[in-house]
Amino acid sequence: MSAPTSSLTKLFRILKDIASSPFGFLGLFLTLFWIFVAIFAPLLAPFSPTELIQPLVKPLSYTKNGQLLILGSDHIGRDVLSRIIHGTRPVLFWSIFATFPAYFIGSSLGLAAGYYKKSTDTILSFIANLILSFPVLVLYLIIIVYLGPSGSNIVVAITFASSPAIFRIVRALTLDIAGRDFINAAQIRGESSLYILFIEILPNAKGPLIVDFCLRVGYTAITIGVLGFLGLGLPPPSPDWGSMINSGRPFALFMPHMVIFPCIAISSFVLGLNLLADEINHINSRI
Amino acid sequence: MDTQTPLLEAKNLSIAYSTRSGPLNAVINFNMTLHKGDSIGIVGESGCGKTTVLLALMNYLGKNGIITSGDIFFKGKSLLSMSQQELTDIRGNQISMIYQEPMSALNPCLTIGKQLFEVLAFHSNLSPSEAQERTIETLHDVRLPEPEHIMTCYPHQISGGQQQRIVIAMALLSRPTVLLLDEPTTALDVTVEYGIIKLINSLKQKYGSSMIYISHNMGLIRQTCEDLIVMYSGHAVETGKTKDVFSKPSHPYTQGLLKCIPSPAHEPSERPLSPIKGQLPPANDRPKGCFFGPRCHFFKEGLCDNPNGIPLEKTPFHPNHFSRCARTHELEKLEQPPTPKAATRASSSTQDTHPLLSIQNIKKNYHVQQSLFSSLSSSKTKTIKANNDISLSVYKGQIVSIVGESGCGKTTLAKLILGLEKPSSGSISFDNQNISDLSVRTRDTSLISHLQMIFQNPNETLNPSLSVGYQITRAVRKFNPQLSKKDARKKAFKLFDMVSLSPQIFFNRLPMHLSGGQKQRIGISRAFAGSPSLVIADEPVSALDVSVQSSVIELLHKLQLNENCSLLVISHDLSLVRYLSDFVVVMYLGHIMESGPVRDIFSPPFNPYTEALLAAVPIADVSISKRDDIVLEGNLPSPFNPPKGCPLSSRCHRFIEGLCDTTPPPTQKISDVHSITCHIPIDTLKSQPPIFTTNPNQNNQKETKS
Repeated sequence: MSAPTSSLTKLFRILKDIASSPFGFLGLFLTLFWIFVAIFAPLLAPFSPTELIQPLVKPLSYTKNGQLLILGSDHIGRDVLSRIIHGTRPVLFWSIFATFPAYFIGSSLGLAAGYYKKSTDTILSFIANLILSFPVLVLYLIIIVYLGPSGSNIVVAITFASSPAIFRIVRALTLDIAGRDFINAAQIRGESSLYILFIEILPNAKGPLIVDFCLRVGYTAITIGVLGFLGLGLPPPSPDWGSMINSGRPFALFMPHMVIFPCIAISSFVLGLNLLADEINHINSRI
Repeated sequence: MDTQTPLLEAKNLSIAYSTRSGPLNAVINFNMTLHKGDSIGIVGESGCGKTTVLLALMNYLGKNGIITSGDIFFKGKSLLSMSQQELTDIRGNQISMIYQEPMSALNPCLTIGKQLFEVLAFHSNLSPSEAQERTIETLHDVRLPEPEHIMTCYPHQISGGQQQRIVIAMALLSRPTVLLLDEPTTALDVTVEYGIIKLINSLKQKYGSSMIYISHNMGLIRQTCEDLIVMYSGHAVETGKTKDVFSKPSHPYTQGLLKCIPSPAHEPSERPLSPIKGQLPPANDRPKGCFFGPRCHFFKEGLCDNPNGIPLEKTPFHPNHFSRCARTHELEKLEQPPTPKAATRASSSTQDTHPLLSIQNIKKNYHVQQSLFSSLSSSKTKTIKANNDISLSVYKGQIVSIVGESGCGKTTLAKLILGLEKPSSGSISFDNQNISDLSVRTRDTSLISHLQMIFQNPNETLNPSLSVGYQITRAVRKFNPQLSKKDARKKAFKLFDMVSLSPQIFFNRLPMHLSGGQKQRIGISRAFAGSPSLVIADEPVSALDVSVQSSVIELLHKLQLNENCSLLVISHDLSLVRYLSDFVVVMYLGHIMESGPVRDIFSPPFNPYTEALLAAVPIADVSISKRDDIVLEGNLPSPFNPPKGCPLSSRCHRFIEGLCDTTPPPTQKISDVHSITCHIPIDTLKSQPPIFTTNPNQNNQKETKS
């Protein structure tokens, strides 16, 4: 067996492993592509996302001033490509940022429920089921309408709606792991519950959790899109993909590019994450 | 016999598995001939390729298994050239397989009757009534009571032993000519295993099926098979008649294996264990020449590392006895490896007046809610009495064993001592301190470090996501809070050395990079991190391979002596118990059936349960013969509804009607230390012959007859 290696080479090996299957490669490529676009958005975008150039230009055509608009412009004259490129930043930022607190709450409570069982589990599971029994969209609407549309309120809404699902995954994993001998060994040597939960149990749940995290970032991106579409997303000046689709909706029949390209952006990002999650899952189950 | 075409024949068979890192040769140049009525046993440790051979014999290797050379013939026809349809006709119909895990071999969603009928519907054209008849007949043959009732049950409604009988019945339904058995009893308790072995032997005679029996247990093979193939790292290293191989083992590996098994019929000092050093080479990194070379005492450079490999050659003992050893002919004259001295322990240490651990009349009941509705009405809970009036003492430096089958409450007892559970009544005192109400959370560091545990499953005993070095250092710091980080690390290094693992190599490894035996060693070193005075070992070696088992047993023995701690061993393996312990407690269904010094337990008078347990031990040593008139029939009673009188009364071979099933048996004292819980008078029990007899001339009649 190979000797342990540094974490950097390990990460590199895992990435190589993922890229060695075609779907894994595609997933990794799409995900890294959008992360790259988000980081270098100002350098990549040909125009400012708010600059009014010329309304309703079709894709791959020139404006009166001879500027090439690859993806055309929208109804008030902003470049669609630049808006999509700049839109990656809020979408990626908030979808990843909103998933973390959901994970923190979901896994802490899931660990507690799976480890202590009995009434802790009964009560927490009941609350989780209660939240899960609400239609998610209605839940989002209620929260956002109540708190007002803003980035941090999206985080609150997503945390509230996603943590029960994470809770259930972590709880199930904990129930399994907590029955193993090394947990007994830790109890027998008098470890504190916090140590057992976060050092002994949680790292062993990381495989399924990483997979779920990738999927959930994708779902959150969709959610942000949906909220944007409903006019409840990020406040207007920031170009998020959902609100782009919404504003293009009345023109969708004769100017479809205003709707289609943001849609492709969302779905390729989510597809990339899904494929990546799938491949990680494959690799996990192989080990 | 020799003119007849053999039923199943493997010729120069080599099998490889394709993996991401290239092909792995699992089986190399394997030959085997099975005639009608033959029974061949394949014995070897995990990873030697025995299951691969078995699957290949049905041409059922799966996607990544490739037969790289050689051929398999069934009744003279090559299996490799057959179409899928022809193969399907043969599998399950002419060749049947019995799997290791009965629970996973049966479909939990279908009734047993349905699953049995399916076999006949698929493989025969019997009418429904004929099928019904044959099914019932077969169920009778595997000695299942009330076949009609059992056919309406689902698999989870019957016990493990019954499930295995169903799996055997299923394999027999189509009246196969060849029966393949893959460790059919490994998942079962000893007494149940013994029943199944007897069943297989009688079925072999009734149906005249030929069989191939795979096991890691040499004793079982000796009881079931006439021919034997010993496999090591993909090679057949020794073949021949079972009795020839066992009486004159010619390959150093076979010899080593036989020396690794503790004997239940001998004093430890008469038969010290000599473990095989090293471990099985990985399939992608086998040594040159003899694969066993690096582990072999007789290894000779220039001879045993012949790059062309070592051929399977005739031994001087018998024309049909072959061995893959370059030194077969001179082996007998060579000096045997020095047998290690059996650890001799001062028996006087048991004379301490104050026991280290004293358990008095412990009872532990579990309340189980039957269903959602009963949990709402709260009063209707059922009670399982996991421990019932258990008393025992462990003195300083003593090794006490608790023996019993699954469900006898031995693990519950360990949990009570360690403070993971609280007893329902009774008291436990450790070092004159009452600890029965102290849960592990409320115990202080010194108590915790003095009472530690070794776990059964090497794959679960270590946290897979933390390095072993970290885990040991953590335990050291937990038990010795005064140590600095550096000192704790030093102590952890010492612990690694103590269990003979080099800390330079292993310290930073994750558990997945360790073999089972190495993991178990790390688990043991963790228990010794705080210089414990009592270590509880729950089946410490049962999940390990034979050759690894003995070295771990020796390690335990050594540590116990050096650290002068007491050991409480929980085990179902009587050979191990005999080898290791000073004092034995036999448990059944939460009751103590017999307790006494190890010598008294292994000789008459016996409690009938002890007697049955002993009789069920498979023995590989041909110089020992065993009484075979005792089999515990039936199954372990449901813990919800134990028998009224003696717990054993439903299965006992000495059952007295009207007494055993109504009145709990008295505990009869044979000596100060030896007591038996049974209705039968001591004198009657004393008149029983011993279970094991040793014949020095190794020629015993039973052996030749079977």
